[in-house]
Parts: sequence; structure tokens; C-alpha cells
Amino acid sequence: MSRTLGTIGQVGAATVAFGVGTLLGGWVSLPVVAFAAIAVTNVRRGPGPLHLGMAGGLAWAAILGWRAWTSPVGELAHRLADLFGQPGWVLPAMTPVFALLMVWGTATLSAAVFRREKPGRIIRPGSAWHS
Amino acid sequence: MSRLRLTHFPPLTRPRGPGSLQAPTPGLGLLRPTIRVTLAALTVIVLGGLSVVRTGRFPRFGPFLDPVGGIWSVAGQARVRADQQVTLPSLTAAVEVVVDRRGVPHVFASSEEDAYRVMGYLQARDRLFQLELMSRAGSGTLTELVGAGALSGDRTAREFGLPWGADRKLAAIDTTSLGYRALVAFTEGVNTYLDGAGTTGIPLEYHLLGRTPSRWAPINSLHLFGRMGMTLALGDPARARLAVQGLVGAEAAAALVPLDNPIQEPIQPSDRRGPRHAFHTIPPPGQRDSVSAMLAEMLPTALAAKPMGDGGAIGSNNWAVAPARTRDGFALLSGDPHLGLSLPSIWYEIHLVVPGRLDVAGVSLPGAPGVVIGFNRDLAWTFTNTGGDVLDLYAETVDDTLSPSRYLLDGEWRPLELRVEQYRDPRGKVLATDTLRFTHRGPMQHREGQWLSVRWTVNEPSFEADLFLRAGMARSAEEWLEIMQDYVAPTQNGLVADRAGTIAIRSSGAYPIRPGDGRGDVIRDGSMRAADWTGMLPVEAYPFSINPSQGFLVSANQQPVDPRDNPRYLGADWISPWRALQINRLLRGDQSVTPDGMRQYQTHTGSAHADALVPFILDAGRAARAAGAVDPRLLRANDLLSEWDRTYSPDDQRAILFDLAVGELTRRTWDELRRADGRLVYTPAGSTLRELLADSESVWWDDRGTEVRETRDDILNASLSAALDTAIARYGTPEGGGWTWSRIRNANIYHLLGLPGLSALGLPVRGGPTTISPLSGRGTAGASWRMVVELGDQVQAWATYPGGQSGNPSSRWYADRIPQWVAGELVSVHLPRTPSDLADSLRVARIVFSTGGAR
Repeated sequence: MSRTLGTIGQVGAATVAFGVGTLLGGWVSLPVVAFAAIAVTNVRRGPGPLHLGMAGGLAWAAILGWRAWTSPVGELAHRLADLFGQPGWVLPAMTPVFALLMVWGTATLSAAVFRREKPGRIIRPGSAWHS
Repeated sequence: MSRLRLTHFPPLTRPRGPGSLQAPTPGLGLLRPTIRVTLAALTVIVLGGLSVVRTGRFPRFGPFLDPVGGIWSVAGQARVRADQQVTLPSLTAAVEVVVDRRGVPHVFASSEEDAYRVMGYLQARDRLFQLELMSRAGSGTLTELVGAGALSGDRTAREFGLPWGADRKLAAIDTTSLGYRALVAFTEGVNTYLDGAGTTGIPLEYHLLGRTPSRWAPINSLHLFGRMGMTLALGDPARARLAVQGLVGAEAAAALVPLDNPIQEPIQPSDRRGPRHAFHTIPPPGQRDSVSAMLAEMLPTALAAKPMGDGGAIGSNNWAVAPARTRDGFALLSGDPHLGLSLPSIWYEIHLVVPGRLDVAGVSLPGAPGVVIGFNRDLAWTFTNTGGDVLDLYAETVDDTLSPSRYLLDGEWRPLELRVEQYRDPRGKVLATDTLRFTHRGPMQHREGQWLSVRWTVNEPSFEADLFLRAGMARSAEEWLEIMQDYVAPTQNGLVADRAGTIAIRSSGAYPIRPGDGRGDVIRDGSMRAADWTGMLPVEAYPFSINPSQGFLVSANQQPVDPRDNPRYLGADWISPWRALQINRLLRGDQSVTPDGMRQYQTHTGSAHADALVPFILDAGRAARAAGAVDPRLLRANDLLSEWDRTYSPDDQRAILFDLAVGELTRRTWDELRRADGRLVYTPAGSTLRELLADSESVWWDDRGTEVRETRDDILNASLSAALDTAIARYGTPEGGGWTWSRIRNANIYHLLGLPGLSALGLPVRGGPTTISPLSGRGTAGASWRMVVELGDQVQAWATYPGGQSGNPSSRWYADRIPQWVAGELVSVHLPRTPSDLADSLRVARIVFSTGGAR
């Protein structure tokens, strides 16, 4: 339970970081924040690439949701759907998916660069992972 | 510690290793590290690449999808805030704006300059992309915004000297004039918006194109007027006349491309109580004239365009009724300018108030300060295009055919002014480079081995924007006319009515005075200064009428004055006056005109063209029936056409038969005007066809493709029969519902970039090719602004246009007026005297512009 809460906390913090990063620096902040998150956290404390990816996607989904709450995103999505010949949900869905993939990809590469994960590292039976 | 950390922060992915347990990790974590890293690298490369480099028609992914500064920010711009504060540092005092339910801003300022500053800001906020697009169209720099696809249009703009003309105009402007100060103020407003826009305030089109907006400059507004000049005044009857002369000789050409229209229902009313039919026998086709044919080919193809042609592509109307003929005893004015339809609309509605100085409402051109068509508390005005011949061509003698640097004038070589024109793509890469040469007349073009120079009033120094600003401040029709007497181009039929009951119209603009016979439908010898214009017609000689005895005034692009009243050359090849005939007929029959009646006339479905032709077609069929030689197809077609009430209502079932029959009739009658490749070099006006109908035995009726000699009735019957065949083949049987007019002809309002998803297509409107609200062809032109103004104790106005105030497709005001426009409805225009005059129920937003302490 506490592990789950911790993960949620990490993802939440990362979501805020990605949201703030996007507000300040636009889409380029996704790989930058992802890289920084991997770089500044150590192997055992930092969130993994997938969680970071989820955080990036959540951040963008949250901003898009806020926009939809305050402005006619639906109408715009409808117009864009006509424009690109796609169903109306495609572009709104693509937005967080893009962020998720971009962050996951960058984080995974960064992790490899920083050797966060050593191939062949042994996890013993009875470790906390299995508890 | 380690275990605790693992407990709380389990790695998301775990590799498998010898002797280890397999860690159950979710999703992508199951992948082998190498594969995972490879996939990640690919993902980053692909997404990153697509975010940096544009591929195909899809914008760059990252910037586009960015929910803060990307495409979704466009939705944020559409949000309407009830109260807003804006800092506009160049203001001299605070300005308050209230926005009504139709999205119209009412600007209350303490000086004209401040009003135009705020106007610039508001137009940029609502129409930024349109501002840049239209201005670039006038400066021939569209490729820098939309890419190489616009190169041809840019070349045409520059070859005809539009940017050169704008430079000349700007250099000649009195910088102390209200107009210039307004241009500067407007520019400040636009650029203030740009300064604060960042990536979150730019329109959707920039996101799609992956561009950023350019800074605004005063000359951009002049480019805009140049672009309007190109739309409304680029043409020369010389091209049509020479092309026809090349095929059928001079005598026939003079009748088919006449100086004067055979049906006279002029703008300047004559003493008659109806039209004058000046029909003559059209001379038979004569000998081919190869020199004329060659000259016609030599002329720029752009001059062949006839935007105001009989096909009804563009056709504006205006009319005014004196108090004596209106129900309530007030003058009424109808403004109904027709232009190419677009989303956003070509017009932007606004109300500007500077207490004691200015209180004007109506429509402005996005990109220019002031109201072009509208009303104030004393008068109302509107325009239609005159279509005067204001462009002349001169065959120049040059020192070098391929790369001239001098031209001959009165025996002396004079240097040509050279301008190197570069066309660049959005990245700055040079797409093409042209060296344009200018004589003292204007730009030269090289065609078929001959250099031609163009003199065009659109390029003459003038300052229309200043006139529009001052005209909006006039207090009477007379004052308005006095201000507009300096108007130059494009020639416009300016109609004005005031609260004193005065109605007046004048075909304003610079009409060149030419040497010799004064005609402009010729190519002149450029080697002599004697070929030059000797001046401009004095305003007293313009077609004009004020408070005519008939009690109303009408213009619909027809020949402005009957040559019997004023034989001076103003132009040639005038369009058929079908719309003018129809409006005149309606007004002659209405002694008690109401504002709502004016509104209904704007979309009246009756057709003077049909009234003129249908009797001939029916009579020809009846004659054939009486003669006993009857084709069952013809009988059926004749019966079907006789059922038609000659109106183009959306649910009409017979109009299409007439429409197709006219097409067949035109094709079969004018077969002598076909080139070897089968294309007509020119289609004579419908009124010329009506003229020919009066001569049943004319040789023009003969179809050269057959061995027999056809008469008029033979061709009429064959055309109707063929039309029936075509109608059945295309639309099914007459009873099947496929002939419904609105299913066949629609209005299509395309987005400025031609994007169907942002367009309004297939709109079932009231009207046909020659009705007051013409609809024809692709349906891409039509009424751009409909307005009725009653000049009573309190001026009242009703209006609409096909679109909405915002250029933002997600805005409630993007296309909200289209249903009204389709139905021919108008809505009341609000005219508050103060911000608080606009009732709360009508007000959706209030914006306070302040100096921000800068002053």
C-alpha cells in the first residue's frame, strides 16, 4: 500500500514537473524534464521511465482537460477532425499519448546512458519486490 | 535500507539475469533491455523528428500537440471573458469596448487615433491570419507564408505593379492627414497584440502551416487596398474585343463586345420610366483578322478574368428609396456588395465612437482602419463596383528584346526603372527572381516577343483609406459626396442617403482621359507621349444623380449612364443589367417600401433574364408543335419549362432546365467564336444574346457543324431538347426530386486556405445565375454583406454577412451568421451611444484598454 502511495506520489510530482515544464518551455520540456528526472534521481529512488511517461501523458491530459473545461476544445477537435479526415477523438487522444511516448523514450535512453539499470542485476527471492 | 527503498520505489523494469527470479514488471518493462532501449531510441527519433521537421500536410507533432502553446491554445483564444483588461501602451487615454451578442465590438475612445489603435488590436485578435494573408496577396509575398503554391499569384500581383504602386502611394501620403495617423495607430494596435500573443495567441492557420505571424506596418493596409483593386478593376475590354475580332472581324466584334450595352437601365436614371432596348442587327461574321488574334494572345491572361461577368460570379447591388416612396416617410438604403465568399468573411463589423467627432458603424476590411460600408447617426452609404475601364496597355519599343534597359519615347531613349523581385519560401529560400521593368506609365510585361507597359489607376498615388475615415464623419449626403470626390480606384458606385431624405449616387473614381477617340479598349503605341492619358475626368462628369424624380436609385454593376445622356467613354463590355432590371421593376411597383421589403428584395428569386428569354424558347416550341413536326422530347421539355414560374427558389424543380438550356443556347449560338481547340474565346453578354433573339434569321443562329442552315427557333428547340436530355442524365426524371434547385446549385464558403473542414459547403440559398442575389458556377461568390438602413429620427440598421466576427474556427462567432444569411434574414444592428447604453442582455464582454502607466 505504501509502495503504491509512493509511486502515486512520484508520478504526481513528475506530472507537476512536466506540466510546469510545458507551461514554461513548451513541448521541448518533455524530453528535458525526463532527462533531468533520470539524471538527478538515483537508481533506487527515482521513478522509472514508464512512470515518467505516464506522468508526462497525465500532465498533458490535465492541461488539455483544463482547456476543455474553460474553452471550446470539443468544437476545435471537431473542426480538426474534419480537417484531417480522422474521428474527433484522435487528436485529443494523440496529445497525451505523444507526451507519454516522448517521455518514456527519453527516460529509457537516459536511464541507459546513466546506467541506472545494469543488465543481469539479481533480485533475490524474499526481497521487498516479492513481499 | 536497501530493501526499504525497494519496497517503496520498485524499479519499473527489471532485466532477467542468470540465477535470478524473473521480476514481474508491467508493460514495456517486460521487454529485453536491448529491445527496450532500441524501441525508446526509435520512439525519440521518430517523434522528435516529426516534431522538428514538417512531413506532408501534417504539422510538426510536438509544437502542434503542445496543449499550452500548440493547436489547443486556439480553443483558449475562443473563450469569452466577461471583463478584461488590456494594456496598450501607445494609447493616449483609456478606451472602453463592449462586445455585443453578435461579437461586434463597440469602441468608445477619446480620440480617433485611440479608436484605430484599439481597432487594430481587435482585428488582430479576431482575424490575424486574414490580415497577413490578404496583405501578402496585395504585396505579392504569399509564398513567404504559404509556400511555392502561391508563386503564380504573387507574380501576377508584382507584374501588375501592386507593391510598386503601394510604395508610390505611401511616399505621396500627407503624414499629417487623419488617414496616415490612423494607419500608424492601427499598426500600433496590431503589433501590441502580436507582442502579447506569444504562441498561445496565434490563429490556427499558423499552427497548421508551422509559421509565426509577421509584424504589421502601415504599408500593409495599402497592400490590402491594392488587392481589392486587383479583384475589382483588373481587366481590359481590349483583350475580348481583339480575340473576337481575330475570329469574326472588326464589325462583328464591335457588336459582340459593344461599347454600350444593348439594354439600358443605367445607374444615372434617364427620364424614361423603364429600360431602353437599343437593339441593332448584329453584323454577320466577317473575315478572320490574324493580327488581332495575335495581339489578343499577347495580352496578359489575367486581363481575361471577368469577375463581374454575366456568369454572375460577382455582382453587387445597392439601392436607396426617397422618403416619398417609403411607408414611414424615411429614406431607406440597401447595401448588398457581392464578393468572393470566404471564412472568415472579408468583412469585420465594428462600431467606433469618439464623442462629438465620430460615431460610425458598419464593416471594415480586416487590415485597414475605419468603416468602408456603413452608417453613422445621420447617413448611410454603400458601394457597388462600377467596372470602368481604368487600365491601358502600351506597346513599347525597347533597346533589347530580351533584356531591355531603355525604351523609346518621342525619339529619345529613356531609362527603364528596374526592380529585382525575389520570391521566397517561408524559410527564406529564393524560389524565383524576376527583374521587373517600369516605364513612366507603369510595369512592363513581355509577351510573345512584345513588351507591353500597363498604366492602371489602382497604382496611381491615392489614399482611399483616408477618404473612408472622413466619409464616416460626414453629416449629410452632400458632405459625403464632397469628401468622396477625391476617390480614385477601383471605380465604385457610391450610394448615400441621409436623415434629411436626400438620396444620391455617383460612379466615383479616376476615369482616364485618353487621346484621340478616347477609347481604352485598344493597345496604344507607347513610343509616343501623345498616347498617354491627358488627365482624369472631372468629378462633374461622373455619372451622378441626386434626389431623382423617380424617387429611388439603383446600381447593380450595369453601365452607369445611358450613352444618349453621356456618350463619353467610361468602359466597354458592360455586363447585362438583369439584376438592375429586376430591382428597378420591384421598386417601380412598390410605392410604400419598408425596411423588411428591402430585405426581401435582397434575396428575391425572380429573374429578368428568365423573363427575357423564356418566352422565346416557349414560342419556338409552340411553333414547332403547330407546324406538326414534333420531337416528343421537345414537347416534353416545352411543357416542363412552361410550368416554371421563372424564379430560383431553393425548392424549385424547373429552373435547372432553363439553366441548362441557356448553356446549350450559348454554346450553339456562338460557335463562330470557338478556337481550333474548341474553346470559346469570349462569351457575349446575355443582353447581346437577347439582342440577337430579335433577329430570327440572323446567320449567327446557324450551327456551322451541320449542313443545314438553322434558324433561331431551330437552335432554341435543339437547345431545350438537349437540356432535357442532360437534366435527366444528370439529375434523373423531373418527377424524381433530383431537379430541386438547392440540390444542384449551392453556395460554398471556403476557408481562406481552401480547407474543407473549416469551410461551410453546400448551402441551399435563394437565387440563380442572374437573380438579385446571384448564384452560379461553384457558388463561391455572393452577398458579402447585406444591410438595410432606415434614416429616421433615430437611424436603424439591420444586417448580416456570411460568416462571423471571429476567424477562430472554435469560436461561437466563426460561422454563426451563416444560417441567417442563407435564409435571407437580417438582424438588428446595435448602436449604443455609451458603453452602458448596451443592455446587459445584449452585452457579452467588456474590455478596458489602458495605457498601463506608459504615459
